[in-house]
Amino acid sequence: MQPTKRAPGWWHSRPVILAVLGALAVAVLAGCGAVDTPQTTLFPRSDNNQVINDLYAPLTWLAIVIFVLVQGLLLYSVFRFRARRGDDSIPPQIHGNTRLEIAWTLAPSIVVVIMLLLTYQAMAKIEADPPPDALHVRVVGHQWWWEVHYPDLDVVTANEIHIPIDRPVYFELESDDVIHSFWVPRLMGKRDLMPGSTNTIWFTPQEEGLFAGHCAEYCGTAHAQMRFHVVVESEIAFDNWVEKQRQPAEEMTGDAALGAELFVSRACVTCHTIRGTDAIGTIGPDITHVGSRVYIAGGILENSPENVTLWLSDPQGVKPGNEMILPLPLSSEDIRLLTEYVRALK
Amino acid sequence: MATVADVRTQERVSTGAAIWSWVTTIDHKRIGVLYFVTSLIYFIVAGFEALLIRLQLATPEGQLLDSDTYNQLFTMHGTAMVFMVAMPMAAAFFNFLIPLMIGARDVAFPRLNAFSYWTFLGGSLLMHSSFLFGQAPDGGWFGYANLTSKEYSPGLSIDFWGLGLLVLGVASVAAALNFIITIINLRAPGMTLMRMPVFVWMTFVTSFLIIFAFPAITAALIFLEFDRLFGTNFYEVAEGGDPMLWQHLFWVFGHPEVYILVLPGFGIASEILPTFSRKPIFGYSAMVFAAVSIGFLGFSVWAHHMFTTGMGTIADAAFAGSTMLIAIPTGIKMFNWVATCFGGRISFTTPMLFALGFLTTFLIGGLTGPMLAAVPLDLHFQDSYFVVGHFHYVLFGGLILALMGGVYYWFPKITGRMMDERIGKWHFWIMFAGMNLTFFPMHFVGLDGMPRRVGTYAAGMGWDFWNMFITVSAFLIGVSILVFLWNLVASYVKGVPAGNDPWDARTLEWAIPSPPPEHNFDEIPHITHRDQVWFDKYGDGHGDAAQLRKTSAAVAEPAEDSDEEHEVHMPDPSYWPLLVSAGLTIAAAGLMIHIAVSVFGVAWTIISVYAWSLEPASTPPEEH
Repeated sequence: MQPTKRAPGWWHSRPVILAVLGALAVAVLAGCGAVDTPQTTLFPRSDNNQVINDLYAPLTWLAIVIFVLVQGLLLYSVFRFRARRGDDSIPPQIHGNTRLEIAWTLAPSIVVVIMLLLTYQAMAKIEADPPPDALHVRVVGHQWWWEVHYPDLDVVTANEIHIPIDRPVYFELESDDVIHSFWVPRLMGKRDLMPGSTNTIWFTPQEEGLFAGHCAEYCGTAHAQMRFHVVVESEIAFDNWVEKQRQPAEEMTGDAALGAELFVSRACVTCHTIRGTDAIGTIGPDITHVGSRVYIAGGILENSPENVTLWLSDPQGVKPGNEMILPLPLSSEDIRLLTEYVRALK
Repeated sequence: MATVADVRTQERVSTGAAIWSWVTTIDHKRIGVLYFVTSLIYFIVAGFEALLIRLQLATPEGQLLDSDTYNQLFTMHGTAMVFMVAMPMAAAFFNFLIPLMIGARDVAFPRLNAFSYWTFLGGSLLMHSSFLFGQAPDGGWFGYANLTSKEYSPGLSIDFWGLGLLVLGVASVAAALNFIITIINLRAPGMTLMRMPVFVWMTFVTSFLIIFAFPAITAALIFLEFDRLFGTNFYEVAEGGDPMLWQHLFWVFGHPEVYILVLPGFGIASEILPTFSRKPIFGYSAMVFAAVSIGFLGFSVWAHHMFTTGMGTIADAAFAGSTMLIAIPTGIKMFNWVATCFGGRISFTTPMLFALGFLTTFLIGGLTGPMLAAVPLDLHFQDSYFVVGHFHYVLFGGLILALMGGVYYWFPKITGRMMDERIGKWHFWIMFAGMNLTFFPMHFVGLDGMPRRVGTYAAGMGWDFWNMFITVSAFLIGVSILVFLWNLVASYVKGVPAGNDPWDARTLEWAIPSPPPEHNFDEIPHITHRDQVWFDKYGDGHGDAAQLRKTSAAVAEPAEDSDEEHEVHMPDPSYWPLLVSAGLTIAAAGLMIHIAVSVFGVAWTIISVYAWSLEPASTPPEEH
């Protein structure tokens, strides 16, 4: 982990929050506290996500205090007043106590007001308008992948969103088919992608790295495999990336060139765009620079020659239900050439 | 699980006649038993689905189920648990107990009551028959538009779901009206509203929630089926429709539905706790008004299920506020339950253990509720495993544990035999441990970013350990269900005879024999006090215990030697309710087959309703 911009207080740390959620957790977490959790909500790495995270501690503590109090009272009552063997006496028949009842109407009311004030305070921050200099990214959800546009930068990509560190980023979220939800737990809470309207969300990333995201609204067969990644990088690295993404695909040589010919002569072009070639399909993702991505197939396979081969051999086996349905199985030679080509689309 | 007396007096009757007597029964007690057995079967089915889900999720990249099957299983698990387990099992208790608790001989409309049961059976069978065609619903129990449109869900799966739910809705609304009218009109003389047992109050409030909430989902489902069957555009974005319309209508129903599910649990706990504390419920009127205000507030919070849809700051803030307000009446109830135990003579019987388990787990589910209502936190919790953990605490903890307690508590009244206490305690502790070990860690994987409704997940996300842990724990719940079923059967066959009042309890049903005779009360009791039976035994509680005991001789003696003057005329059995239900189910199913079948079903329904209304309620006694 790189150092955070803002050191969280001890009460924010993941072990503490989990531990206070239950003694059980403490025992087991001690054994596996080192487990990496790339999608955890507990290590925020953006300003707005930190605001959300700051709300965890007070609300969790309130809940714990109330639980201990009420549960303590209950356990005390039932053990203190348990019937002794042979005692069939009848206790005083108390029907109520107005003062007590008023007290325990007021107590939860006060807790509710506190919780609401904390909630509204945090909402005011994260639901504010984004700063005017925010980077503008448009994300369109598809069953089951993500189309990514940078309208001001003339960049189109898919499933992997690059953003520079320390600059606010403003997402416009839309859907081409059903409802999806955009969730990168370490960077921000989720926001749905609604067909027919545009949703927005913004935050300022505060740490470089690769952050895992997942569709969080059930969207059909392959919902479980609708993943994506956000790459937070330095301003310079981001500018370089943008420059590269704006270029059409390079001229290919050797096996990759053969693969390129294969690509345009087969059904691939009906769905995919590779700028600078005859492939201008729009059903599937733009893969002009797919070779530069860390993951393929909607964020589920690391981009390695073996995985590209696996994907081209059996897309329905890897991600059942997705729209990449090969009219005819590819020969192993075709797959080898296409793999070369796809890998070369840097 | 017929009432013992019924089955045993009919021992010499042929099997056919015995079955016929159940098919045509309009006795609220027998209908209650039918509801119970049916919902228990669905409980086992939906529980089995849950175990399959857990097996698939035990390890990353699980290979047991393909994604379509997985999606069908979580859809049917949720739908069945809500509509075919929780609601009808609560209805089983309403049916059996409400007339007994208010001193009535049956519900207001006994044949309508039978109709409710058969319609519930018809709707649930219609939906489950989808498995036979490999078309089980797969849109989630919440069935969000536009995933459920013909374009994204071709085939019949969503139609099985939508039409099945529409039929189930008819059953629920008919039953709710029946209970409202029963409670308003059939209370024994002297039983004012504020003398009713808390369970009756909870039934009353629940029934109102049903009749106000179900129209919303009915409209939503009719829009959906019109879109799918007749090409209308309620949810079709391209044609100007709006999937948000579904979400609003669904949750206007869906959130009150949560209270429809848990209020019966509140009611059951509110009967068990006083009995085994030997004290009246603490703060009776506060308990009643808290439930009523939960019912009201429950209709003003629906959009807290939609914080991530981008409704805007004002709407988010308003719904966060109204949602948190519910913590106040819920808190009042919680404190009153604790105060009911305080100062009592607590005996740790199995029903009491379940009631205390209910208080504990419902408290946890109730405390994560306001956390979810905090909009910023909900942006993470929504559709993550955190929320799965939360609502299983509310529904398993708040309802299933209470229902289990209710079964142990009233089984003696229903069958005339006690359930085995030793096995019962094993059942409780295994189930209590199992449910906490299953559902508590779900909060952890949720905080660690695991989304819900995923049939597979990658290794290396930090979720492996807890998922395996949850799966193993889920089987503990499965074991506890086996123990329960064993106890149920064994106790039914050879349980200790119960007598009228085995728990030294407080409400009217304990003054009559176990199982109750068909007409319940030889003479309709006169009510002078809340907890009438306790009062009859021990007086009003002023004065010392010794004195109290003296008055116990004053237990209301049922007129043992009731002569001809007290002969009670009960309405006759009828098969028309079943036929009307069958007609409705055929009409609904016909929409998936051919419109002619539907027309036939509607005609069948109309004819049956006509015949039903011409049938006399009972054969007139000859001397009249």
